[in-house]
Amino acid sequence: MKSKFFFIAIVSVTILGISFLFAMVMGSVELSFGQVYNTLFICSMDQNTGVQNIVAQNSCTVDPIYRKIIWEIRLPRILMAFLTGVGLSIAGAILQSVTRNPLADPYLFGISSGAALGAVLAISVFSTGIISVTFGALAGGIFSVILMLTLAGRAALQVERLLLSGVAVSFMLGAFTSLIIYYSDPEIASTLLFWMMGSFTNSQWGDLWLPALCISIGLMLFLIYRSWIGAIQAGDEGAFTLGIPVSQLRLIMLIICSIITAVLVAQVGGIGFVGLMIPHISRFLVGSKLSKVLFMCVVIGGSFMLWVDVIAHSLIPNQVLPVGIVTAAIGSLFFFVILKSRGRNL
Amino acid sequence: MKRIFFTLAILIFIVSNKLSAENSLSKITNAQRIIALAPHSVELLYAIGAGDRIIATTEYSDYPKEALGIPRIGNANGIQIERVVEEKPDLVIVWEGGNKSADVLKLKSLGLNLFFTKPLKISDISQELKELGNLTGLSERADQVIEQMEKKHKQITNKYKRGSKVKTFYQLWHDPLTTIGPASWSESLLNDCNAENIFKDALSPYPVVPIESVLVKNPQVIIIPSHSGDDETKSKIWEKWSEISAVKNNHVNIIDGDLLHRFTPRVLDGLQKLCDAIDKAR
Amino acid sequence: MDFFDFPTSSVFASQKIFCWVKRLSISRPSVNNRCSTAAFAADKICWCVDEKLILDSLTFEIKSQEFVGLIGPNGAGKSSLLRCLYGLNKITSGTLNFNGKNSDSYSRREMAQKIAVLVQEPPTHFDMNVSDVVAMGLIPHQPLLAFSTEEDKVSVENAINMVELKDKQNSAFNTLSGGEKQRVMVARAIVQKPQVLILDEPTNHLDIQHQIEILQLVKQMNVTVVLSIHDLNIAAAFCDRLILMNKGSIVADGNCEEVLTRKNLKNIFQIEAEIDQHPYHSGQRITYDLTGGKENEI
Repeated sequence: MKSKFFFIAIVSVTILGISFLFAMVMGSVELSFGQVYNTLFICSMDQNTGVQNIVAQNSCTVDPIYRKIIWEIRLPRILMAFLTGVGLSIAGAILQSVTRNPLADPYLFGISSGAALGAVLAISVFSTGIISVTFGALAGGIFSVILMLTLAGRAALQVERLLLSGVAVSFMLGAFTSLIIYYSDPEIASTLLFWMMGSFTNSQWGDLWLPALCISIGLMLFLIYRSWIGAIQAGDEGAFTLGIPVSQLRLIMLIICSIITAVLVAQVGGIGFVGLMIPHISRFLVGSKLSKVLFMCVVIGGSFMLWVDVIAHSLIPNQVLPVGIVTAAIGSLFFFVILKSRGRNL
Repeated sequence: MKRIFFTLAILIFIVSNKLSAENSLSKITNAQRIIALAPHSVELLYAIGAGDRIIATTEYSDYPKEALGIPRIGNANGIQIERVVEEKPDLVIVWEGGNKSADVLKLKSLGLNLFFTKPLKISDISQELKELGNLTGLSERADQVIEQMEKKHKQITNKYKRGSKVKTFYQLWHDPLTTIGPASWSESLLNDCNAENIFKDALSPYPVVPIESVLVKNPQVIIIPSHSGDDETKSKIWEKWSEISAVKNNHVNIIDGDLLHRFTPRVLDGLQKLCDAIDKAR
Repeated sequence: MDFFDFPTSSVFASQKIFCWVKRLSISRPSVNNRCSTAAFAADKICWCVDEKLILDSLTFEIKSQEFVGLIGPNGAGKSSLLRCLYGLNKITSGTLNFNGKNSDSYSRREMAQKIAVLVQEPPTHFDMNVSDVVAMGLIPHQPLLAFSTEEDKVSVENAINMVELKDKQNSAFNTLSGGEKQRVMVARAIVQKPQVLILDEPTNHLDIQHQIEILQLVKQMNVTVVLSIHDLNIAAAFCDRLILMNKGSIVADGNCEEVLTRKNLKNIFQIEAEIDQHPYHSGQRITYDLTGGKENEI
């Protein structure tokens, strides 16, 4: 059994490495592996002035524009895509374990609706640019979680009530968002709609630290509490008798997942299905043990998102598709396949 | 045999419909009650002296100043169809692409006299002026306006015909980075200035493009048409990319969008500004 | 709830008042010296939920290493009582001592280290494998950041061997039969190394072979057992003591002979039965009279 896991792990990590390579090379502008290698390891560039290091001058054969594309555009975008895939996948895995619901998804709790509302308000109402889209989305996401917990009230400790409250918040905030978009200028409306459908296009280096921090801390906490979270899968009462503070643990895990999701949505907009699909695929490959599932979520989730980004940039020449559309298309296919396979098992 | 008969029947149906539509419009020579569902049509009607015949229009019909007094019955998101019918217009000017397509279909089905406006280049404006002149009985005035326009237009295009085509990036919007595709109105303006839209091979009329592509295509000029609001943000995105020739040589230009995007004689002022800006980079 | 039904509504109202009063009254710690050897000592405990009185003034004692059976009709409050014992329900009033100290003074983790619980129905859609499920029993004893030691692995293996599931060690939990699932839960309880084992109708969904198997395993563990069960014959076979409950109160408390009487069976369960010595073990044998009692009139 252990050897099977190691085999799968190694294959997945290899696929992740290959995905990174391909994501660097493919896109609206086709680069060669040589150019990428040169840029990353041989040419060193002074970011501020674009002047190349004199020592390496002889060996650096890559055009400054391509170098800039790789360092300033591709690399931050790819890393953001990777972080998004990882964050959404692990949040989905933990939510599914902790609510014992295989359809739990980071978006279930209205976080993306809240973030969208925040972003919409930041752009259209506070249009003088005082509040950036990111900040608005983050505030909105957190607000929606607080709203959900408040609405559920004392019943927040019960899973079903919490889920219902989240869905209610999601619809309510979505309605407000649509209303504001309807009354906005067409140009602003198009910005918002594109944002809501998800995109890694504008990722800068400075945008990466917050998601990376939240995901790292979240992952660490998930791994620390992995045995407790695993026990919750055996039933609330069973977990209680093992000494686990079930409701508090569930709430804390929910809040951590919400923070990860809110931070990601604030940066990249609404990207669905990832948190739903990747944990299922991981469990299918390595079973239900949480440490293994989390590992696979990191590797598979990251690779998946890298490929989605490549598709979004390469499908139509010279154009960018919103990422959310690609994940939705793949997600629907995924569920179709599951439906078919379940049907056969009967 | 049956299939041929069926196809023939459909063809006859379509043709007769088209004919009847044209026939109905050709009967109008002196429309007095006009509903203009496009700001540019309002301007054109005022230009030929038919401004006082407009009984209703849509939002943003703000030129000339008198147009602000015309009652509004809708915007890009929707038209109050009931009011259109209530006003009993002789003529309704419909803007395909600017009015909601469901509204356009509804208006078609109501049997009103519809004039469709969809200019794709400046010469189309002359064509529309002529037709509007015929429909309102003001052909003489219309011809005068057309003559003036065409003279000025020729002046501008001749001035910049010489020299090489300037590679231009036309930034419709900054977030997401949207530009114009082939055969669009804005592209025709660029062509008049002897410029080349770097995305002239795009597959859709308003493609969202990655900044990488702009970097690689390296335009000499960047044009940012602006309607309102934050001009600074729109041009700020180019600050980091000094590799682009347009940025390096300071050819990032913000031009009044109303002048460029309204299909009226005023576009010539915008065209002048546009061509000047482009020419500086030649 | 029929508001025009006076007797019922008056009971309802009086329950409500009773619950309010009990909640507000300060309970003094019970001074009971003989409890030092008792696993559980309960003194007039009440439990209300939503202003309904479920458990009414229960007083009893469960000694260390006793095998106690909790019997009674449905709705008597057996499960509720068990939940009070292991802390899931907080008692409204009265005192409950565990190992000489008030139950409230133990943290949930300390309780988990000493008390293991087997519930009625283990989860069905649960697909972790058997050894991982059994390993969960280590949680109360392990600090969070710990990795499994050799000792832990041995403990898990031994438990799996004891319940004779060695060949199913790596199968998914939800592919097992009902009896096997319960055996896994017993193994988990074994790994938990408790002093007390509480079982809430664990044999309800099992066939007779597995019912006996599970209880024999439990008996082997040699810990204090509090078991809620419906089958009176099995209760008589395994239990040292019985507590008979009805409508939230304790009706009888003592050894099997004292509790399993024809009178009690008639009054509480409304059945006629013949009770005699079991031919194979030292307990009683209860034979139900389904003819309507004509054959056995005293």
